[in-house]
Amino acid sequence: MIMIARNIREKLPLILVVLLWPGSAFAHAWGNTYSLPIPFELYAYGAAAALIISFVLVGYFAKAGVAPSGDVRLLYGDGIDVASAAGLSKTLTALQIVSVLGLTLTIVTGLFGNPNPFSNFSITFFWVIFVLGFTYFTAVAGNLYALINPWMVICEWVEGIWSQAFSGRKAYPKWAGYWPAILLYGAFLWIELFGHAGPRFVAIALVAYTVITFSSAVVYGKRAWFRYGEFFAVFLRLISKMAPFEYVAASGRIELRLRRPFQALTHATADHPTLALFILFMLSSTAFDGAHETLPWVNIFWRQFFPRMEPLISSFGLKPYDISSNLYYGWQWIMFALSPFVYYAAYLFFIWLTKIVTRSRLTVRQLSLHFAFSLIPIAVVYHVSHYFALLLTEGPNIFARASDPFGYGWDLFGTATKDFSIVPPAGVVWHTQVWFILAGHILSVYVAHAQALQVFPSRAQAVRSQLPMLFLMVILTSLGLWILSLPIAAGQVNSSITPG
Amino acid sequence: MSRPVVIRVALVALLFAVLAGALYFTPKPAPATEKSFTLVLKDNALASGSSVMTVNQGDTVALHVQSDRGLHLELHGYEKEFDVGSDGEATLNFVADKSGRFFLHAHGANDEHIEIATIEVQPR
Repeated sequence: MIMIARNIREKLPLILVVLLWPGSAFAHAWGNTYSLPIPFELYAYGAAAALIISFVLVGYFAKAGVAPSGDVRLLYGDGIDVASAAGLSKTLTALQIVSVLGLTLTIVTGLFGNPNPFSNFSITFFWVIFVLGFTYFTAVAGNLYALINPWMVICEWVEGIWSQAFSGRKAYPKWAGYWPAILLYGAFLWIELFGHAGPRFVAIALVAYTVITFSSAVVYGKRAWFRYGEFFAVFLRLISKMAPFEYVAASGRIELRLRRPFQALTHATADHPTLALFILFMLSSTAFDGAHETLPWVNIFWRQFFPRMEPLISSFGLKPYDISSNLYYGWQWIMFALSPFVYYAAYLFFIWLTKIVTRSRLTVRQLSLHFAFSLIPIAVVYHVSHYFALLLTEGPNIFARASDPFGYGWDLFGTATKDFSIVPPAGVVWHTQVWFILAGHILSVYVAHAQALQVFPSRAQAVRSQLPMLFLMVILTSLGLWILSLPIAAGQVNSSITPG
Repeated sequence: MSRPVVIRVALVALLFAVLAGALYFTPKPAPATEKSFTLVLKDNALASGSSVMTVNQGDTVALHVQSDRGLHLELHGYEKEFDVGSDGEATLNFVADKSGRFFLHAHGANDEHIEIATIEVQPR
């Protein structure tokens, strides 16, 4: 109980910030992509293709069996020793300094700069360059974040002066698993989806997160906290399993290793059910982001819930329309908070079907840990297909923001007033989205099959085990494509402004 | 070539064909026309006019806006701006050469953005 109370106490700053911050008037201002819903024919084709490919793959695996065997092996000799190769070691230090400077500049420009999100360095840098750009870079280049995490780097610098600072005063409770990361990830997503966050809000949230991270690292030790609690570390570690590169720090050396393609997905198991929940949260939050402003979703509230609630509200002497927008947002928030659990329940259901179909003696919990990483490719391509257009339309403008990071009217590099946006044609966006989702689906089916061959002793059992998982993946893929095809509900709740 | 290699090549070819098949669904071009829309704003909200206007890429669009309050309007993505006076009207003329979904925003005194309407430009 004391543990829980302390956890809540440590998270209080963030909770308070979230609850007490007055709503900003930046309704739907920043962060919109210019993407059109994909045409129905393209969605139907994609879903059918996913289905057909899946069965062809399973049929092929039934005959051929392609799982790579053995442990994670070094592809090229002993790897490259980054710490001792002088040039690379200096590069790493430089990257760490850049990382800490990036965090610092984001906070400082957010707190003291122009509140207009289009003019401030912090918004573009944090949401687009870091959250989108660096995530996709991690999927290809591996877990560089583990080496340059700004919060961890600062901890290491402090330890240079006071070596016991972050060695931990209490053992991290293993039963808690990844819950801290899940809760903090949820708070971050809430800010992204509903916070209408201007630069100041983002800066304050980052300061609060910094306080939470350092105080938790003092209590539980930096190793435990950066493994289970710092949600960017957990998120990027999962994403990095897609990449063929691995950075291994051991006894003062850092090695760069090459892995067989997707080996970190096929030959690894989740170590706690909450890690599987985190992965399902990645999936559900992207799906929710895509769905929550579409016409069919919005109509669930306005056509089904609200008409039924009106008599109840009136019976309290209130006018329904006066509080309708509060109820609407409350409903959206509740649906968002429930979404990871709905997805997790569906996942456990199909894992349970897998157990039945194979008559396996392994428990649902054990099987759910084995197959959790097979969902990572689908989570990554969902994310890419929803947000890559924003990376193109807002990412390049970092060159303009760099000239005038505070939005004061500076022009350090002569680029401040230029528009670097790349607006891809709608057709290009559609095909990119569908291709990515199909590719991710194929990859997930392959990974799940490779995992099944390790879990089940006979090939027949392994192939049978794949049928429920296949069903789940076809549902997830079709759902992802369907959400992309839904019409967007037009301008929802408008806030009033003072006339110019 | 040995049989397993043939099967693998055939499989990769099939997958490629399926992915490439999505290209079949390229948008069909439509002849460019002129389209005109009228939006009436009261209290910074849309009182009449459609909140989602659909045009085809290449169309010439005339957007008439009447407002009871003075507003600065911006079409994001096209980066076009125009002002409407208090109890006045204004027209924005442009060619919809970029496809996608673009937002018409009113900007307030403190740089607030209010979403007024959306223009969907279907690709050619």
